[in-house]
Amino acid sequence: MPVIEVKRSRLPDIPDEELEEILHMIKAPVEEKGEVWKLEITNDRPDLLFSSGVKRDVLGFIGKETGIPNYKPTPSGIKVVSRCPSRPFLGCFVVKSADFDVQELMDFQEKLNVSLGRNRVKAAIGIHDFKKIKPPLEYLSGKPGEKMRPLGMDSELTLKDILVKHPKGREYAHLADGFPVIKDFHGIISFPPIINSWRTRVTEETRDLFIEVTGTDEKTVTHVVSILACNLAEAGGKVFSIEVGQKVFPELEPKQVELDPSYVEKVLGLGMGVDEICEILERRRFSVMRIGDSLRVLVPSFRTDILHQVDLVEEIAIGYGYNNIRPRIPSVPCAGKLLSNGWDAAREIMIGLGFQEVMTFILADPREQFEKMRINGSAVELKNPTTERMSICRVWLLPGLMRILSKNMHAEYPQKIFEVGDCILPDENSENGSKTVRRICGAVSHDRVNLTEIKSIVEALFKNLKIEYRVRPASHPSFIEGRCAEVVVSGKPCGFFGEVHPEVLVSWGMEKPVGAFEFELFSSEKNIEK
Amino acid sequence: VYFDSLGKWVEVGGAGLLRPEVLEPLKIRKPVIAWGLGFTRLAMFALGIDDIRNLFSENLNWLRRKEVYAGNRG
Repeated sequence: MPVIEVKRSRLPDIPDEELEEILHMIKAPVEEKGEVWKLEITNDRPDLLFSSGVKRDVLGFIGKETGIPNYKPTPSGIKVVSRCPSRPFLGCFVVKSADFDVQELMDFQEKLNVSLGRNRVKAAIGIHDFKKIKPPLEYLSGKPGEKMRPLGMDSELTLKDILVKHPKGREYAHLADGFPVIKDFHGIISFPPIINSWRTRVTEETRDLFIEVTGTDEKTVTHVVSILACNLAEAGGKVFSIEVGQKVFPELEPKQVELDPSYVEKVLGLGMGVDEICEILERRRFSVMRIGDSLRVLVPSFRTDILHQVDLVEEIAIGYGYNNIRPRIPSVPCAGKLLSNGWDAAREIMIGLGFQEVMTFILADPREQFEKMRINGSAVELKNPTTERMSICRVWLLPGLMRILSKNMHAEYPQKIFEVGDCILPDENSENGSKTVRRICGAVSHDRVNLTEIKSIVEALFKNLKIEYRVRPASHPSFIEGRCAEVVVSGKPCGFFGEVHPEVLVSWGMEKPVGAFEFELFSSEKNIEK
Repeated sequence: VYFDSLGKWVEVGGAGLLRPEVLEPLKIRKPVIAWGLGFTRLAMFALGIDDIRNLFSENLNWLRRKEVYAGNRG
């Protein structure tokens, strides 16, 4: 989320601690304090990207200034002709004697370009010194050979050359289709969305601004103009409107949103009266009219984030204070308890048998799952894996344990590890083409590990879990022929154990033998008593 | 969560009510809340791990030496 830097002196004159607390609640938490404060601004509040916007919100929160702010623009008498098909929308206005820091304004502009403006595509802002501009103004498609001295260059360049020679030109050349330009009496003042002219540049002495916003999305252009105009008006500026074709900018008429107090109660459940709801909304800088049982809320034009009455409910919760909402245990007739699901018992038994529990990733490497284990098979594949090592869902756990053993050949032996985890198997009969099974897998490695040792561990596990089982010889490509067995529970095989095949050990680069088992102990629904 | 060891608040998760626009197409008429905690940060604090790579370590010696809090099961 964007971080802005604001001089402390531009924020309300209340104790630092109180201010920090409030900023936290209005979605502008403090990252750093000092002469300059760094605030992290939530993405849905672009109006807070400038100090005056933050101040307006805080003053409302503490009840010092409430209700919808009134910024009525005065007609400037200026009309702009707009005819640039490749970037069709323009909104512009003039603001005089606003109190701002040039650097902060430039940062604000750039953050709006990036966020609301979608990196200058939907909308891009140009800010000029109004005193250096001579109407009439016109917005049109320029010619590649026309010249302007851009900011950051010491001579005139053709528009075509700006796209090659100017850093911003190179960065945004892909948006320069049709060479949009804004001209005044003397020539080009702006080449949106690339760069402004040096002639109309803003300096420390500038107090009167001409602000133009161009873009490909009309609504975004209107929003960006509103936010700029309202924040500069809040900073003490006087806003003058400009006619662009049939429209007048800035468009600062509030939006009306109906709010049903019973809906507020349904969402928040705080038992608030209508008076309290109105009082809080006024503190959050809205104005409220009562229409019978319902409320009509006037939403200022800079609050582009209010899309639905639920957003006003959020404002009410913010104004009430999230920290003032007390947790309450719901009055339900029973309390829950933890399921003892057998797997935990199995894990404790394994730990009791001296095994170290590990957890490996569910996403796996197909070579490790199959080739290195001497088996073939299919797995659920990721459509867009970032690496081959994590491109399928594991179909069994043993490769994960082999991997850990192979990485720990320097560690003390014997090594005994186990994992309880989910595997995801392709399943044509299931709705999503896969099924998830939970398994337990153990591996033992030292010089003299053998089938007998693994069998004794497996039997200890099943006996302690009080599961009736039978063992019968089996064959599995990952294990040595004749040193492998499967366990049958209720007539069905539930897994296998044995001595890992030497070719598998070699493929993992391992020097000591490994004995291992892997079982599906319980079907997912079945729970056993501990 | 406030961590004494760091002397500051650390964000460990988000929670909220789902937007009505999300629920309506699914014909869900009751409010829905959702929350999720970032497990890694909490685990690092609980286990006293200060390097996130150790949380995903494949080093058996490290694991053997590490105290593990098993919690209350059932």
